[in-house]
Amino acid sequence: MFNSTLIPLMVVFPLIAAVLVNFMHQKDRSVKIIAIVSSIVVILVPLMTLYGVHLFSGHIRTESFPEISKLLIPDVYMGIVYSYGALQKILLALLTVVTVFVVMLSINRKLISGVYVAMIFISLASVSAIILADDFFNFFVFTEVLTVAQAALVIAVKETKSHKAAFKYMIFGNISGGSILLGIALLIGVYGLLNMTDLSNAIKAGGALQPVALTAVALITVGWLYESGLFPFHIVKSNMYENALPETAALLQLQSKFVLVAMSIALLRIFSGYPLLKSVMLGFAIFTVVIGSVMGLQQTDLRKLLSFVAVGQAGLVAMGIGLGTPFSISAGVFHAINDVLSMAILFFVAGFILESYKTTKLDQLGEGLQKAPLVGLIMLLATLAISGVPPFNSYQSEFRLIQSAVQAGYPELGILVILLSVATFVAIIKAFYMIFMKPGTNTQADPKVRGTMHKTIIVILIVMCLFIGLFPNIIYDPIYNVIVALGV
Amino acid sequence: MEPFQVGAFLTAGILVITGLWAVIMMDNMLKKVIGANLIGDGVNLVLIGIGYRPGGLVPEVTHHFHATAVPSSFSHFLAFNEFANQASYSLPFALVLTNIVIGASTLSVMLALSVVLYHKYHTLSVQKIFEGMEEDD
Repeated sequence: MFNSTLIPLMVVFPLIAAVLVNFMHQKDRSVKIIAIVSSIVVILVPLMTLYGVHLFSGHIRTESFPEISKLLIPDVYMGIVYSYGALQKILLALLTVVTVFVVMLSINRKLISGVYVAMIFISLASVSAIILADDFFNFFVFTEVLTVAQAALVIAVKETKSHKAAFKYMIFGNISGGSILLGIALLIGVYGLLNMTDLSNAIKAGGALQPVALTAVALITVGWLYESGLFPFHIVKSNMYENALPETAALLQLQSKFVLVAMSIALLRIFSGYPLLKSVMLGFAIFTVVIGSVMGLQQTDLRKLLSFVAVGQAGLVAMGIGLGTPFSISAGVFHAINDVLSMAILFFVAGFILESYKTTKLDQLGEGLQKAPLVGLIMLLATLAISGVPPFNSYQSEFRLIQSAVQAGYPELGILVILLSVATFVAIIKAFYMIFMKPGTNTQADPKVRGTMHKTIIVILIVMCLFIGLFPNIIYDPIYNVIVALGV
Repeated sequence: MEPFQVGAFLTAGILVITGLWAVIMMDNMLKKVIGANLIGDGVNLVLIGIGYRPGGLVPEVTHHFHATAVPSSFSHFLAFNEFANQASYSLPFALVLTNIVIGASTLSVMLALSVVLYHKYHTLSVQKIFEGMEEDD
């Protein structure tokens, strides 16, 4: 393993970029230049970085463990550690690509300048740190930073309802942050450790979990539910998606799903010998899938509809992880990757519609195919993609999810996956009809809006969906190998 | 467990429960914000209680490192192992410091949002502010 010096750049560079664009607020030209240069760098860094670990405090200790925990463990990583492997590379590559798309769309908007782009870069740095971190200290700090950055991105819409959504998000974020930190405090009290590898080894060496440690698991799980937007926090999360700009919502849903994946893997690694955790994860995931799909079917606003679909799909990811076999966890992670791409396309389409028609209310839209046939076609393809229709990417992951559910002895969950796919298809195809095919419209499209960037981005994303659908093993095999190696 | 730790944990429990009660039960927006902050304070107190060691050295005290220090000023320093055995555990305190900074930033954002919503609705009642949620759409 290399002690790669480039690994921290994935967190540090977006933070520097955020400070710079924030400093240049209202100097649109400077913000644009810095944002474009930074975007190129943030895409390149994960691709150029070698796999390995980065130890911030310098070295790996192999001597006896600090006295405080009363346990002997070899290879203790002292201090803060970032691990970078195949899974992290895939997640960070996707994260940076979608972030850059959102930055590009944002700098085109005259009203939104430095601070907004700065918040996008801070959220990128936070999610990167959460994906890379091998210690709870970083995890906690960056989940809190992410909460503030996401709230700021929604506040920037400058509408009262977005302020309300951000306020609710912050209040619940405070409770969830307190819950995670209390869980961490209890783990320190029992084991004296924050490093995940050490904790995992210490818990395995110590046998059954003590009641205090069990309380810690419960508290951290509450934080996991909030950060992932799962039941009972699905309303808060979907409220954030619908009140953000659709392009930003594309980024928010991606961040939530990647945090879901990173936190789930961390929890399963540390508490792998605690089967109730998987059952709890599975239970909340099933609730989220059912509620997300039912709520999605009832919506008459495209943004609200997509928000609930995104929440329901997050439940599907959590379901795969909650099943707890290496196959199902890999399928869940693979579905997270596929789903964020399809959802991003749909949110970008919603962004184009909002820019063109100044509304996303389905009953006010219609005859869209005449105005934007390409966008209509891509939305149709994205609907097929997210519903798990071959040859698109979600088919590959949903097929694996069904297979893994049957293998794990829960065929009924396979049926639930199929039902969710059908519900998702019905909900989005209804929106497609209302926007693009319904005769008569109450709203005229703005003829000045050409949406060239929106169109370019959604074409790139649908090609990515198709590519992963045709060659799934390029993404799936590294994920499976990592999950098996981690022993979760 | 030391009496100080018992007191700290009890106080922390009271703070967290009071905070949760304020967030869930109180209608006043500012009281909700204060409640959310109390939860963070309670958690900080738990961390401080965990890091406490009776009579332990405080690793952060560095009064020997003044500008006029000479090598003999450090002659009474303990060997690392001896120091490690006597020092308080500093990791929880590092977490507390971080949480205070994060708490201040989240508190400021929540207060700013409260001000904006108050200017819009001329009330601090959450019920009145959020009952118009559907109408806003």
